[in-house]
Amino acid sequence: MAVKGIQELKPVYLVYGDEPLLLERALRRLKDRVAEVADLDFNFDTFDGETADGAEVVAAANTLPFASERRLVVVRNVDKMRASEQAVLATYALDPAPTACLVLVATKLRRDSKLYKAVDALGGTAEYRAPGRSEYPTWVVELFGTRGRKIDRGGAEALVAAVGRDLRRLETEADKVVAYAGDRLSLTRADIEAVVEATAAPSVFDFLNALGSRECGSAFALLDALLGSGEELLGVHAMTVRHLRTLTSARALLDRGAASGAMQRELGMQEWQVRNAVAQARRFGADELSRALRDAADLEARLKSGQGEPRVIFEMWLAGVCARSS
Amino acid sequence: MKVSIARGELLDALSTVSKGLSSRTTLPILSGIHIATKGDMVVFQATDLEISIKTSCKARIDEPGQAVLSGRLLTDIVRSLPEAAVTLEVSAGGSALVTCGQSKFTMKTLPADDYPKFPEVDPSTTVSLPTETFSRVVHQVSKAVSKDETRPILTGILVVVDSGILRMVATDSYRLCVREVAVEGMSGDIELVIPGKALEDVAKIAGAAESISLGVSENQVVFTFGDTTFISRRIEGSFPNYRQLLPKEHATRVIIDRAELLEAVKRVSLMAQHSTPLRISVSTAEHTLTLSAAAQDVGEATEDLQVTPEGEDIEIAFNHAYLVDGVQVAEGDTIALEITSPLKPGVLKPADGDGFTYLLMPVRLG
Repeated sequence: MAVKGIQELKPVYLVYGDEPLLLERALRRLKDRVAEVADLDFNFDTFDGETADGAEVVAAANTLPFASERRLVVVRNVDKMRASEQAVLATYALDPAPTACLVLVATKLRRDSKLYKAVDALGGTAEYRAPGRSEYPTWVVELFGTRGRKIDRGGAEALVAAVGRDLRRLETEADKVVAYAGDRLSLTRADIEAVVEATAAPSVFDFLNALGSRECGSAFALLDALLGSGEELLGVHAMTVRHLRTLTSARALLDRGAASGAMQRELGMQEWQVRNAVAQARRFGADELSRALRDAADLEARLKSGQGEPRVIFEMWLAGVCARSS
Repeated sequence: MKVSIARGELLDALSTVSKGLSSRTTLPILSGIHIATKGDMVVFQATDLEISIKTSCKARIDEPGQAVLSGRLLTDIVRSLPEAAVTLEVSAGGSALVTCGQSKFTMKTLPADDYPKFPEVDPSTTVSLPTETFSRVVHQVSKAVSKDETRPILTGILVVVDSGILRMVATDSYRLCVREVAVEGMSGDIELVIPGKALEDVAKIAGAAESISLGVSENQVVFTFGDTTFISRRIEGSFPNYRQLLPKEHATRVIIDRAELLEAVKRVSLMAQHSTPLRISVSTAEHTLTLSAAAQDVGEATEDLQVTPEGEDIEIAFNHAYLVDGVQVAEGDTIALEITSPLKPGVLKPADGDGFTYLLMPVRLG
């Protein structure tokens, strides 16, 4: 969030990332900042990169502001601009007008592109990434914080589970919960359950995590939701086998006393993924995991040769994997 | 319905209401012109739900009725016909026959009952303006109307009638045009923002009428001229405070022949690409105004004009297209260019008189 802390406006910004809500917020912050020194009634131009002409944008930026210190020029979808038009902006960024604030908004822009390099040289690039899968509840806690409310971790997780990983919808639903709570400052899972309707599309990763955590009830419920949303049983099976292989490897590395860094290298995973895999692998013995894999191979053969009702034999295998340690 | 109308009158009526046709494909009925008989007249209507236009002309009515026909196609057909009586015959089966001399066209009709009712507007204030004055003022200020739909208020023209003065103001945030004109015998005060396109359409189609009546209601504005009624929505919101932008003083004032300046600016602009400005240098000692433009990897252009300067030598740059617009619509044979500094707006005015102000933001000098 490099833009948040700026003390002085830069002549060109490039705000980019795959999360539209965060880009909109960054843009709003910049707009508010420019509004402090400019009358935006007269000094605000927007262009869409899909149709805009680079020279038009530059002409707008080069025009001195009307009775103000700055002119704000925003180009959305700058990554959809033709390369030749981006080059015009890149040339402008080498010698930008000090009276303009040109804000380029993109989903993705190559770091080795001329435009990126030119804006980066001015210190005006800022990336806005969506949170990692495990970071959403923390994001929700912070979101409630910006509205002067506290929500416990369970409540935040319940909101993510109900709504899914869509920041705009999470924000909308959070606002509903805040309205529902009235003056109450502390919010819990009960508030979420009272207000928010579960509409999140089930994720196969949630199912795998339930299976890896040996939470039989959740695993069955998530399997039901997955199949109900049109997921193929063989696809779920393939992902399950992949996950069990990861847990088997993690278990083996644990038994060898491997350090976290070594695990990241061996498993080819990021730190948070390794942490998750290790926590789940600890719930199984090595022999349990290898048996689960062998049974999964047998299950696959039965699924593909029509031996038994597919869903029934998959659920029987699932019950065996989840319940074996108890 | 069966009616016969002189081709010229029919084409005038269709061309007038065609300004209101919608290009929205989601409501096909709006691509049609509603035609209905009323006494010995035929009434034509079109609407895109933002503007509604109604006009009428005399006709021979053999059989009264109503129909909706594709506006563009019918207008094209009538335009192509020779000067003679055109007969329009609509059958109950949903088709219309257009005949003129030896030419015959059949067209499908659209359901007339689905056509939106023409809005009823009860104006709280009405003023009457000479058409020639109205159209000239609209033509002058409409150059500065913004096309940026994200700021609706700037897509409109501020229209003020106050103590016998008609004032129109438009800005797209790069230039601002203010035109004031005294209208004899005009009474009633109004202040509202009207979509620029609606005003331009009225100015175009009201040509032959002597005067235009402008009626204002809470949400709509109604123009009446001749047999035509034109209704548009008003643009809500406050027009920006433009007065704060008008410079109260200047460092340099140049009196210049308008036609000479226009020709010279157009010539030199051939070398000014979109992002490269047109540079203006004023030398008070040499009594010259020098226009220059340079396009990288293309070339340069320079032209000196003999002028009457007052004040300091100065250099400033403008977007050439906006400067051409301003010089084109300025009042008078000689105009004044007033400049305060290269970083402040330049102003075009009549050399003598205050009724026209075209303020133009400079572009940074490279």
